[in-house]
Amino acid sequence: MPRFYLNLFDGVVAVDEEGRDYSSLEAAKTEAIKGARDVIANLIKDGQPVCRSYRIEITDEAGSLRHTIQFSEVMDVRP
Amino acid sequence: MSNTDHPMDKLVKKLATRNSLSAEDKAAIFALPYTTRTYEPSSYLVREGEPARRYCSFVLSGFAYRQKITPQGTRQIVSLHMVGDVLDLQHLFLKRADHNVQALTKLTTADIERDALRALAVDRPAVAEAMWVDALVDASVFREWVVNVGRRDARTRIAHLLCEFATRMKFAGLNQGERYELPMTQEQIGDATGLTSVHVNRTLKSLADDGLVHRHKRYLSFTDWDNLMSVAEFSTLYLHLDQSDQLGI
Repeated sequence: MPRFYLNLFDGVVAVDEEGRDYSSLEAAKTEAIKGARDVIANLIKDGQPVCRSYRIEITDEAGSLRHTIQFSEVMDVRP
Repeated sequence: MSNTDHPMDKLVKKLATRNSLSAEDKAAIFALPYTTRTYEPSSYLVREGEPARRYCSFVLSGFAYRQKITPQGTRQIVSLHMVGDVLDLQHLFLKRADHNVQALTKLTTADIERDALRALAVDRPAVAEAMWVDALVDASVFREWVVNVGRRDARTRIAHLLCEFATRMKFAGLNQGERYELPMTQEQIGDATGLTSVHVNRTLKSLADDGLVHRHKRYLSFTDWDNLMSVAEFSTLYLHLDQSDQLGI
């Protein structure tokens, strides 16, 4: 199983040094989306802003960027 | 073999923190029939729904946790256990397991025959009282965890978990000074606090940025224990660390 790292950039830069084995990159993306939503929910609860630049970068064991989840794509804010 | 090398010494020491025990009480614990078993990380000791096992396990080395899994497959870790902790004392009297018990790390347990332990509780009231107090303390820790998961923000929640772990490890004679290896992955910390692993990593990073903890891989040290305790709203009261002197009612 490949190991991926979910690095968070949301004002706090939290590089994932531990990583975790996932069945696929898709599974890592699903976890990243859950993580992004969890962080967003708590930012909102704490009355903190959520910026468009906030994102989670998924890297592999070689350190290569494999995918980026933008916070703006995991929430649905309507007019 | 001297008594301090004997596996039962760990149980005697633990129960002696729960109630004052006489030399005869201690000798009776030492005489209990037991088997030692070793479990690999993640392996199950108890599964929800199963009938009670014929023995009760207590931890000789390593770490374990209790957990429940929702039908959607989400796991909630409800307590952590380490050397000296009895993992399923409740099955002395309850017929079926209502939760799962899993090894967190490589785990060694001494498994005591249930009937012998029940007989001991009947014959030796001070031992029975110690076991009862142990169950009451477990319940107190569960209450604190409900508050933690239900009413504290992510930062306070994780700080509280770290403070509890450090305090219990110190009391069990495990950590050297204010530095210890947290035997939990980010995912497991998340399961214990109701957060995602991404959020756990973020929170640990922010505690480190504020100078409260120092993190190197899984090694954690506390650079500002007093401040961390205050962020965690942590008090040791609910752990009832040593009841032995107060119970001479």
